[in-house]
Amino acid sequence: MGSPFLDRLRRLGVAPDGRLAAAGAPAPRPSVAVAAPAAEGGAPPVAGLEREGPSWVLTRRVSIYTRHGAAPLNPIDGLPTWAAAASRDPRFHDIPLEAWRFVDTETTSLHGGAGVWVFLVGIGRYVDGEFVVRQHLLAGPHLESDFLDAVRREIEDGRALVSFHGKSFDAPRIDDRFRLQGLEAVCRGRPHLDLIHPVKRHARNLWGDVRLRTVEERWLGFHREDDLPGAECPAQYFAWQRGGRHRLAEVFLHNHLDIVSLAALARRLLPVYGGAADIGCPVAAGMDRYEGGDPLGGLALMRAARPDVRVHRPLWVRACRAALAAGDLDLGRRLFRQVEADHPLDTGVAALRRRIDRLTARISQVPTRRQLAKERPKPHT
Amino acid sequence: MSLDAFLDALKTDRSLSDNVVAWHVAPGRNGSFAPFPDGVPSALRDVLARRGIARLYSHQAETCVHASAGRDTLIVTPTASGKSLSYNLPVLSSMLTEDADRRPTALYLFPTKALSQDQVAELHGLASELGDAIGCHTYDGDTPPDERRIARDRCDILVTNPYMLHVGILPNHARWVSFFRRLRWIVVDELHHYKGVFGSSVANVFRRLVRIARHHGGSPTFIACSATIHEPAAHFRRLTGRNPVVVDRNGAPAAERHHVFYNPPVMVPALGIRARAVDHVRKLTRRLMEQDVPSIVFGRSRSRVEVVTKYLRDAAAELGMPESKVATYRGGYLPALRREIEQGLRGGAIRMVAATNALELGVDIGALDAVVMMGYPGTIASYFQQAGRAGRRSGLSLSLLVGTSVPLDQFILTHPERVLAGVSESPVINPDNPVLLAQHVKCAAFELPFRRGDGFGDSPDAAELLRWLASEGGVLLERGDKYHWMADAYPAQDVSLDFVDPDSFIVLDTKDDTSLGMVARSDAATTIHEHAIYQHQGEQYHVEKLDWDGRRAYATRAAVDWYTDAETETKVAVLTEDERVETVAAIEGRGDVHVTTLATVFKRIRFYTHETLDSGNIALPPEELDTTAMWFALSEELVMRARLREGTRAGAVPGIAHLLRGLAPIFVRCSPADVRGFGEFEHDHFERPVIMLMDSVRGGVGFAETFFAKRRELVLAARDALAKCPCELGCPSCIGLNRGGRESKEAAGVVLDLLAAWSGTVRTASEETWEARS
Repeated sequence: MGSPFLDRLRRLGVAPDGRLAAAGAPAPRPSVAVAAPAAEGGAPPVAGLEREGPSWVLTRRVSIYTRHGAAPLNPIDGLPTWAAAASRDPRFHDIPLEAWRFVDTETTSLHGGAGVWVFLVGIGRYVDGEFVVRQHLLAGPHLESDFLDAVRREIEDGRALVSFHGKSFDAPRIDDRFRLQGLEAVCRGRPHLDLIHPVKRHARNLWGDVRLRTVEERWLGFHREDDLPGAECPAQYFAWQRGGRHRLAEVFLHNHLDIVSLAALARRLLPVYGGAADIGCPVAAGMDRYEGGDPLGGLALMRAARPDVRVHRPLWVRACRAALAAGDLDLGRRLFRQVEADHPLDTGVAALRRRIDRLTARISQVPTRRQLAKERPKPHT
Repeated sequence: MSLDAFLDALKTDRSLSDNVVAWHVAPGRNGSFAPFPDGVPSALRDVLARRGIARLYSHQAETCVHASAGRDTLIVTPTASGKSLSYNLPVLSSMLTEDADRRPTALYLFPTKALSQDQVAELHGLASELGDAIGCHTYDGDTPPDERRIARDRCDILVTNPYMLHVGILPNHARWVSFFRRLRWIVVDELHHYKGVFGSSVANVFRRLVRIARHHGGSPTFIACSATIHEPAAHFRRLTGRNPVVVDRNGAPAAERHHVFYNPPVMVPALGIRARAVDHVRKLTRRLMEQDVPSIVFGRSRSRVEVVTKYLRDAAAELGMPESKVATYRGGYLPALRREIEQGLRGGAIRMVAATNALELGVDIGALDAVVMMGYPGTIASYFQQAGRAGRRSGLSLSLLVGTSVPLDQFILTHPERVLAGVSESPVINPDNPVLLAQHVKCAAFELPFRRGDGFGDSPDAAELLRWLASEGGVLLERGDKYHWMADAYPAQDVSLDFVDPDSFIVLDTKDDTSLGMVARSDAATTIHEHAIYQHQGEQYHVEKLDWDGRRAYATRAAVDWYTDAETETKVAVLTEDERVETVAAIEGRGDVHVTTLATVFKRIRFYTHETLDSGNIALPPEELDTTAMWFALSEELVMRARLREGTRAGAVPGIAHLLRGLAPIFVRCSPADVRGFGEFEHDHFERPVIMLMDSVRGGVGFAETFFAKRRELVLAARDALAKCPCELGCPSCIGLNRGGRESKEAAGVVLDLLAAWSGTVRTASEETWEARS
């Protein structure tokens, strides 16, 4: 190549991607398609993708009367209240379903850091009997500020976010991109129902993992075929950016299905917070309500719990304590029997057993003077 | 005073005084003081007044004025001169005079985590007393996640180290926007510590840091502190790319200090073998204990320190002192134990401490009267840092250097003026080492896109590198007028600040599979080949098996009275001649070389007697290294004059390489492992005898350039050292053992004489023809 500096680099074993080969060994040359001209002028990489100002958007509409796998999408009353319980964020009470924004992103790496692009942001919402998913594509790294503008409009048009693992992944990534462009963050501080947390509380003991794929199979009856694995998405974007062959359409589909699954999951799981679902765990839901500021509703839900659920110990112990503190010894005993059956040797459970024994003994005792005093009608003054 | 009695003995007792080769008295000095500059708010003055600081040393005030005016400032003063206040003053002043939301921020960098701890304690104290909610946070590998978040959101002073900055903070600068936007101060302590690969890497980290600060609107000023080194401003410039104001008039008072250099006597004149330093240290420390002088003994390795500790304890027992008066002070001690030892020293419960060199920096163990160094600590900066341990209170203090027989120690003992002038070797760095540059440009591109035509610090090659990474590398994408990162990776994770080549072997104990240590790949073939004796903390381990591809060696503890020594064959191919000066004596030059080292055989050698028991073959792949070198290719006239072809006189060529390498640390701040010497009588490239000094790092970190520039001094120093070496047959202090004995030592002297005498004479055309005719 004739440049003394590059010759020296090669001799020192530096590969063109900057990696270091073992000393002395010739650096392998990666096979990379030669960069094509910028994408903005060319044909859309995915059928149906449209220009909206400087931004690329793909819009798909799903009727709310169709089913996603076996799960319905049609909205029902009560979702905002239940979302408030599930997210433990009371602001959800006042946010109608139409103002929720179901969000999922695709990024160029799972590592994080300033060099990771958010290249696809899909946002779903309920509008006029349809669930509409709009997917914004970053047409090129130099066009990011336009892309972020479009994303901001989309998010600020709603009042809350719904995601799966979005509180610690998608939202900070999106906000990082805004900050890097010198703009205000858009997700931070917004009401955000990250469904991974209730799913963990409801199902951690039932399944080996709490991935969205597992949720789809177990609760939604939705099975993906030929789905592009998430780990292969960055490579498709790079290939398109460099003018090579790509499967970006599959990335769009993958992202779209994630978002529809989000809506279906919210629709399917949240009713458990009203005692009206056949999935999920009423004790978990009850504790969300109990600890989220609605103790009576929470206890009522817990009383409806089936006795045959496998028990997540810390949650159950907390629930049991809550029941005892509220004076519901009956519920306390029932919850305790389950946790004891599953975790007979646990020290926390043993402590709980002593507490229940103490309370039981106290109740069967002759009432104390103070208890009698409480029950005696107060003299008129 | 008891130290006086010891000094008297050192002067008058012939068994000691005969070995004293230099005695220098540095007179005491009064402090030079200055009032607080105008910009220092009264709140800060009050807090300092409460700590008994009513006025400043002149250099503290001077630093404050320069830095507050936005000038990059470099403080060059000795240990214990109040450096941390010099930088804390302008930083805290600026913070107190701005509203909280516009308050400037400061990044404090210490080369390692341990060094920062005492400084942070002081800073925390000041910040909390000021009570103005100045958030001071440490952010390193031990910081728990919750505190990290708090640090990111509410940090005014961030204390961290280059490693964390490189791998944690810069790649995630989006989370630190508010910090970088307000960044006004970058404080770099222990500047002289940034040398070699580490320094070269950190220079690149600074290039990245300034780029990011600028992007967010910050415009930081550097304040750095350094021990007294040669050309400190030049080092600052190479490291940061900026020209500093240098503050080097020390205003701190100092007590009278005696520097005594002590050389144990020669026992075997033919081989130049001297009495062991440790035996003389034992003798001297016993005298100190008799006089009850609070002292510290520094040793170069942990095992030596352990030996000395044993001697000290024995001496204490003989003198009827409680053993608890003797303490060891090693790396890895917890703060509580450190405080306990400090307390003991101050209160007089502890009178003697033995410590490794690792503790010379940044750790305050209190005030002592005498420092004994068992062996020269390697650099002048270290010498003064260790000497600074004594005499912090007042009155008289002693720094006593007991030499060992390595070339450097002997050179220093015969040239005490080099040390006592107090100016340390310059650290050498090369931020533009191509391998490091490529790696850090990658990291920088990940952090922020490069605009076409953007530079990277003052690197001349950045533009070309970026084009290459984009066109062939497939990690950057050129769009608009920028290069954007476009790859699924986190490059900082793969880039080490300490090694160009992070490839190394792990040595495992066969007994329980625990790790004994790491060995760089370049040393593996000679130190952990099968049947090698691997030395670990003074114990011998027999290498049972070496898994080359798996980068593992398995070793078993073995109580044997022999060690192994591998022989290698080295080939050096000269690839480029970047500079070439032809004199009557030699072709002097420097450039790129390719080095192939093949370990061939190993010998089992008995301890003490050094007899060879037997030998075996090593069958391992050769080690290849591309690096930079400087050389002398000796002319035919010189070969003739020194009669190098006769007898064993050719041994002078590798012998001089050995000597030059041993003396290298006099001229630059480096350890012997950073430099390799090579001498070959018939070298293919020049068809002449060649003496070379090579950088041992892939791509080089600047040693070759520096040695080439200082080659004249290097030759003179070597000539001097050889002439003063009392051995007859060649010894480790000069041309090494087994290099041909008396003849080659004599020849080496002639070669060095001629190199020194003729090298000024640049060869002209007429002389060329003269050579051709003859």
